Amino acid sequence: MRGMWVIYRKELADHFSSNRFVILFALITMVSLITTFMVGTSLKKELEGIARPSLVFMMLFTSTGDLFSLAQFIAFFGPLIGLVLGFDAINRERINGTLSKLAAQPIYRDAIINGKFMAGVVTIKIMLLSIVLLISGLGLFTLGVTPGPEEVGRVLIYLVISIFYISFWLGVAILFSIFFRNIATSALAAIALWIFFSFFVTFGASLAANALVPIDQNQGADAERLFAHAQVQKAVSLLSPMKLYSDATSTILDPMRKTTRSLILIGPMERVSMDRFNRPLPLGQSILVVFPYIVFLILITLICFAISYLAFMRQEIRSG
Amino acid sequence: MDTSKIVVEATGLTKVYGSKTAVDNISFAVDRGEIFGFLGPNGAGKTTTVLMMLGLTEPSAGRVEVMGLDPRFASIKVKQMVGYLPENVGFYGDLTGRQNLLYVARLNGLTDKVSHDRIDQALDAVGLKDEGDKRAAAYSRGMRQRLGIAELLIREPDIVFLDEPTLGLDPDGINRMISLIQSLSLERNMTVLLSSHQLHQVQRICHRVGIMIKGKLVAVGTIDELAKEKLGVEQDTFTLEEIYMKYFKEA
Amino acid sequence: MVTKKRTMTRRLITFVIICSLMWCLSPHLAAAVITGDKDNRPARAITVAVQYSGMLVPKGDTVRVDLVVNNTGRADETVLLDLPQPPKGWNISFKGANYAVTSVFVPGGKSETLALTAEPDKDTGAGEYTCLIKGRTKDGALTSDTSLTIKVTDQAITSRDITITTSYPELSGPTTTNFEFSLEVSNKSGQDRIFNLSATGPEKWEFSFKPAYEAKQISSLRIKAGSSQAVAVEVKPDKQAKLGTFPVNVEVNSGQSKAEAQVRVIITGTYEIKAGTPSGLLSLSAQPGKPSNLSIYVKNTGSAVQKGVSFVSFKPENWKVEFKPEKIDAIPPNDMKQVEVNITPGDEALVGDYSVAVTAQGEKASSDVELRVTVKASTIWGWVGLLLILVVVLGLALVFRYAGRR
Repeated sequence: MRGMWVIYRKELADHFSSNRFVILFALITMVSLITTFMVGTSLKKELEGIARPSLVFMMLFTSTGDLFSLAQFIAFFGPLIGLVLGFDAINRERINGTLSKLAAQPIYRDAIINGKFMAGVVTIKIMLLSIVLLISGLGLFTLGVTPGPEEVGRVLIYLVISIFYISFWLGVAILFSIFFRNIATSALAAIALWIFFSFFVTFGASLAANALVPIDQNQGADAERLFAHAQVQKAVSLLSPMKLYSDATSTILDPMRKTTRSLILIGPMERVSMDRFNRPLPLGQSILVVFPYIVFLILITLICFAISYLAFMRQEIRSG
Repeated sequence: MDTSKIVVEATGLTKVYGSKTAVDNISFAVDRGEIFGFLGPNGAGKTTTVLMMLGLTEPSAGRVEVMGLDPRFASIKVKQMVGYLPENVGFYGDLTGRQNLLYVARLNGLTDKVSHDRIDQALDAVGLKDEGDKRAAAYSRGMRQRLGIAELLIREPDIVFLDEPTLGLDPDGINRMISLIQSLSLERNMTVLLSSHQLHQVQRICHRVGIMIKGKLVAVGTIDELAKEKLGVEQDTFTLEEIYMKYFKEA
Repeated sequence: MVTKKRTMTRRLITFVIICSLMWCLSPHLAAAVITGDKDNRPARAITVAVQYSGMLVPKGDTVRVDLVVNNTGRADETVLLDLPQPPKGWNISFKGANYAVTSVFVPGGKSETLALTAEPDKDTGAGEYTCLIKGRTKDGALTSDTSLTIKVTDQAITSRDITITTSYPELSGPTTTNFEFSLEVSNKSGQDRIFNLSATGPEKWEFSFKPAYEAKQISSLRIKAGSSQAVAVEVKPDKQAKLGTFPVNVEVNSGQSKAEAQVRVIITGTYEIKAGTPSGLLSLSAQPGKPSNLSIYVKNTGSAVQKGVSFVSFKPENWKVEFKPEKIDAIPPNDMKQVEVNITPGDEALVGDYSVAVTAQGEKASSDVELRVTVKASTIWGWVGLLLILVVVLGLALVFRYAGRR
């Protein structure tokens, strides 16, 4: 335990003093703030004259200003934080010749990987928390809207999901740093995986949907077929943690969203019936709706860490 | 523990990597206060043997005991008693020498107050007093090896394993290193186990040597014993190199 | 009627003139002729006469009859009226222009009509009473007598004197209705009369009379002799009245004479049902694909039996709404029936609020209940998810335990 704490403290200090991390942190914070500021000012214009706007606070995160919403931005570039924090975690020690020395200290060997993973996770937590707090502050400043307890709860859950999401990428990066002895290789592999999940899974999903449930562009299709098409596409795209994450967070952040699905079949009667009481979902229900997503994110994060852990424990310590 | 003079004992120690046998059924014992040298060419299995003694690599067969403990099951206790200086010991380049030492001290559970004193003493002892606050990345190879020794001094282990401590050093560096190692044994009463293929130095300081070739421990004994065995009895002047080459040719 | 009266008056006048002519065979007449005046009427001549010199009246009735004072001469006359021997037990007075009078001015060639009122005392019994009425000019030169014979009979006026007729003697409707019967009350007696109106019917019912086309309530009315008037009787039944036919007696009386008519109110009962939930709570929660139960009641708030109450629902597609029982054969008034409603949201229902309307449809009335169905996400997957995480965390702990201690 002691060893883990010492390593954790050292790693944490390393993260916050490393140039690449500081630059990335500054970049992401800056983009987030600019995005939110733009969203905030445009929202303010829209809200003029509305006496008691509700759900506005959440829109800071979900509203797409000129380019993208904050949630989308984190979904897309958040993984980079995880990757940067972890891609050289083990192999740099190995190359430096510090790994065998570290392992020879009177600490358990897993203290090394645990401490590193923990330091990464805490760094992610600090970073996300500060971004969210900054944005909330900016929101209060530009909009003058105070969030209610429900909204605070939503933001907190968003924070937790985001932490797991980025931690997953941290886990991936650490795993690669264990498997690949070369730092450049592990960095490239991690970025390749990120690009794959961010771009190609979406692309592959539409390919798969077109192959399994082809839709004739000229003739159009009936609702059932479109629905099946969308379901296939959705199922395949859920292989991407990014999709998992963005679906989960957009549902958590927007209480009017009642499903994680992007396409739903609604009959005219159902429409009328639903529109009759068009209330936002309570937080508990929102959580339940996205719970499978959250569970899945947590699971892949944990499993990814477990694989890294086992791989590290079984690996030879000797350098070179 | 004190009843026995033996602090490290290996019996039938074997390590197999796939089809390659890195360490082949070796047995030896190291007594307290001894400086024991592992000699052998690169890839003879010296480092693997050291790692097995530390519990950082699992033996495929046989066993090793350090102070009567099996490092596989009591790795923390063993590691507390054993200091290890790997070949080409690494340091965190972003940290100063002092910070590197502090990190190790912390990992060993020393309080910062204790470690600061020890770090000063150790840096003094290895001659890095003025370099302690430089970034480790700026250290020369010799300085790094000495910093490694400083690390061992801070930890104050009973046994130290030194893996190729003089590799790649200039002659002056080698000399300083050799005297430091000797001081570990003489002044601090540590048992020293070092591996090297630089026979001159080994000859200067080692009480006993073991010669490893292709994973096998072909000979163990004092240099005199080995000289008698291989070069005949009454040769006054001999070098370890001569003995070693004999063994090497036989293997 | 009026024309008849005039005709009679004319005949009378003609008769009087003839009489006068006969009387003119006297020297007066000659004198008049002698004067050589174009007008061959006498210089002065009056007659006093009652319209009906013999009258048959029931006991206790006041007699009103016109007294005609005729000046057939050329000169204007003031005629004093006198009752030399008023009959016993009668109070006789003359009225002209609302006041009792004792003399009347009649211009030459004209006549005046006064009303003679003979009021009997209470104990004036049956019999024949003769009243002599004497008229004389102020100077006493001319007199004219007439007599009125009143024959008082014991029997009351026959019911034929008052009649009540109604065109619609039967009205039907629920208890909430105000039944308005229109009656025609005819006064066939020779006199103007004041009629008291009353109606009797079941207890707690309310009755009121109104003149036709007027909103005010009345309890009596005056009808001129020989004429008739329309009266409306309004019947408000007791709200709790049972179904059936209820006779209502309408009585019109005047003095001792009266007439009755019977009208009938047929209470058909109200048809009203109300659906609701026993707790008043109109919301329930359900899970997609899982039935959720709610009891609703159907209460017959009307007064008639509601038959064949079935249920229909407005619901989203793919939802199932079932009722147990599906149909209620009959609900007696003020009775309540409970119905179990089973709402099964569709498998694909989204989390959130849905509106489901349930209509209880009786034969004669219906009632809606709108329910808010809050579809909630199943917590099972939540537990499964937590369990999964727990398993993985346990697995990780095991990995720590066995792989980590080195």
